[in-house]
Amino acid sequence: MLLLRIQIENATIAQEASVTQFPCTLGRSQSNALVINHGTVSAQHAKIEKLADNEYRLIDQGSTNGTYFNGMRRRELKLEAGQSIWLGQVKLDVVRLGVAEEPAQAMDLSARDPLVDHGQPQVQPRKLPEFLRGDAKKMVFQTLLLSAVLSMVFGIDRYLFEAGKSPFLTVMVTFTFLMGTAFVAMPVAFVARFFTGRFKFWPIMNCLLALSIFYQAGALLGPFLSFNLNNPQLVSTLQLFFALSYYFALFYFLGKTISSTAPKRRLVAVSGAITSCIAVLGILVRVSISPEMMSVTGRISYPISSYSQSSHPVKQLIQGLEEKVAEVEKDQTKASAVKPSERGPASE
Amino acid sequence: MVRPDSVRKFAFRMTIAFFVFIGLRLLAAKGEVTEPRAISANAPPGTASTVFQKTKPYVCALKTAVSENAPKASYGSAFVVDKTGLLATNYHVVVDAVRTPKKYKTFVIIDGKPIRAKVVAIDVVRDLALVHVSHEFSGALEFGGVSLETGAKLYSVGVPEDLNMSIVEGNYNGLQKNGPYENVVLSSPINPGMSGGPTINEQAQIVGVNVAILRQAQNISFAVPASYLKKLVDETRLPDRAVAAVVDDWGPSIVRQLKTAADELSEAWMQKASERVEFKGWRAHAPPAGLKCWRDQKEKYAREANVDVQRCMSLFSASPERDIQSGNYEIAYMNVTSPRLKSFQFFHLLDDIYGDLATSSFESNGLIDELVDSLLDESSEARYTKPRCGEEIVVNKQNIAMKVNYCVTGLVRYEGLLNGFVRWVTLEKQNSALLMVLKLKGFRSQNMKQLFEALTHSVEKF
Repeated sequence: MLLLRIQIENATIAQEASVTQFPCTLGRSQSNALVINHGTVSAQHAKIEKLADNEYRLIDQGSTNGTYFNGMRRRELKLEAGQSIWLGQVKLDVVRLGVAEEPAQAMDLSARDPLVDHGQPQVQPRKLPEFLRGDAKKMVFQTLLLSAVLSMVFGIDRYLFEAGKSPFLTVMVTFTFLMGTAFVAMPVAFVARFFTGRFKFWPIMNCLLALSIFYQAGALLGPFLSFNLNNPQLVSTLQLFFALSYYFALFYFLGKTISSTAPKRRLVAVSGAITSCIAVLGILVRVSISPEMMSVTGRISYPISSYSQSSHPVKQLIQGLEEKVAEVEKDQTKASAVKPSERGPASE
Repeated sequence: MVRPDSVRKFAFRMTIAFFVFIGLRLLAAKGEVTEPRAISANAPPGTASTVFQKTKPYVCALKTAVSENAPKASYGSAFVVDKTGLLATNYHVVVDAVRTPKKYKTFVIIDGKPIRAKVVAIDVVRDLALVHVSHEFSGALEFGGVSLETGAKLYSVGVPEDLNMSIVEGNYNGLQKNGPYENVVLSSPINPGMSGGPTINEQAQIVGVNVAILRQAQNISFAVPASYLKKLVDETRLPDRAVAAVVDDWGPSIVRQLKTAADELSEAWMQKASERVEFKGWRAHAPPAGLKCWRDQKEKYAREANVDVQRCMSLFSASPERDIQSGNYEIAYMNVTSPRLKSFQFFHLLDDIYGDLATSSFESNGLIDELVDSLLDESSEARYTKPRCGEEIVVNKQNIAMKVNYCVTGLVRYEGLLNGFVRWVTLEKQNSALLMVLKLKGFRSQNMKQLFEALTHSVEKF
């Protein structure tokens, strides 16, 4: 048997339901074994299966607003006592697995002889406030770890490419920067969670990390790729690609963060698409004016190893110059042809 | 707070002397200057006042304006070289009348009255022009035949700043030559408005034509040697003392002169084909004679590397129109070394420097800004065509691999004259590289190709 507590968001009273028949279906529709009448719960939202004694599994039935545990959307998850699961905006607490008498008995035993571990699952009273429960410690730890790893990677590559800098310093600077963003994001997430109980931390972090990763990727790969191509249009296309990936990542994660309901997610996606379009337009404008501009400010080709293969005799250079000169002279003739009407002869 | 780098840059700029024409002075005020007639008659010979007295009847003020009584567009001086009405002046004084004849006319002011003058001959490169007025003068200035010694006393006569006709005293300080450009160097305070006036010796014979001063210097002036003027006068004055027919469009003639000058300049450079400049382990084609060179360390990258820069530029150029320069070049060599950096770090640094060379962040003045301007600014379209750029990785005769970026634009209305901007960087793996930047203004495509090829092939290691 399974004891569940169902709490609809903002409602003060929670309902308790004990489930004895498996599989048990949950949803808004009256055909379900457990009917939860709330707008954010789908008609057929989820199903609970019994695997063995005291082992239950919850399976999402393709619901619109999803099933969340620890801030992550889950397709299925194994139920354990003390879990808080969200079906849309309805909280489902797993109060107890198995028979009701067992925990009471266990507590008696432990009271009698504290040195004996009876191996029974126990529900400990919670010391942390609810909004800090669950993954808070894990979150801080993982953030630290991830920042450390990323700062090593970024720091080392910056050291390699920006000559003459101390490797230790570059790693530390990058680490500080990443930790800074993480520690700004974390309290925001905690506060948001405290008030709404729904705000997710990891999507924000994902978003920030994706941004920095794409930024780094663009900065690193851009010159590498653009280098030997000697083709400004292609370079611009690559930049376009990076910019698009950047916006996609940004709005994808942003959408995940905000989306409690489908319409909101759509809104985010649409605004993302509009922003992307503006970005694309901007880049297209750049592409159209950039070929000459890029040659004016053009840089050395990148891969040192590949220059020997791509090099040409000087004759080819002179041919290239001759072509450009021919184009310029054509322009010159055209531009000069306009003038006689404006500048007449000296005689009056 | 001022960064030491910018202070340095400023100091560097200060040392670059700019060559400025003294006639192109836009004066808004209208009104002719009435000259005082009183001159002391008994001055001893050889003094400024006797020289002035001898010269004065043959020097006039000259203005370009839309009509006889209209305020002037530009203002200068002119002097009589033939009493039938032929006067010499600077090209830049009459440039408006030559290039926009529909709008501007030239007037010589004789006895306070503006008389219409016609431009009959020009030498854009030497900045000379001859104008003709229907007025019989009592005589003309003579050409001096004696060669001068440094220190010889010279006088410059003209109408500075539209004030009284003046005479200034100075000394001859030799000739300054670069390709087709040759100028008498004078120590005298020539002022705007005196352009086109004569520089004369103590016998009141023509030594040159006042043309320019060196900005940010004290009293260093230039005059076009009289030999060029004499040649122009001889070509123009027909045997029967009649004057050549009025030219409708000076364009083709200007282009021809500029092309000849460009050829001379590139030939002067090619004569140095065997000479090399040397940097740590590198050699390249030496700069042409007559350019002013500076060599110093670049501080900007001092933390990572040692950057040794040599910049050479030409003091003179031809100016067929205001704001258009032709027949001017500039070259910079740069040696970057760093034993400390790993090769890929070095390469990264080199890439930064190479990129900087194309932008004004690297004390660039002139062409590149114009090139970038012409991409962004529509107003420059009137002067230059759209820049066409290319790049290539090449291996030269000495088996040195180089990356080359270049851009070419054309001067509008001067067909066949081009501006070019080229950058080279060697792509050797060792921690020493040579970079070169070449700016060409108003050269022919042949010249450009020749210099381009010679410089590319000249780079070698030793």
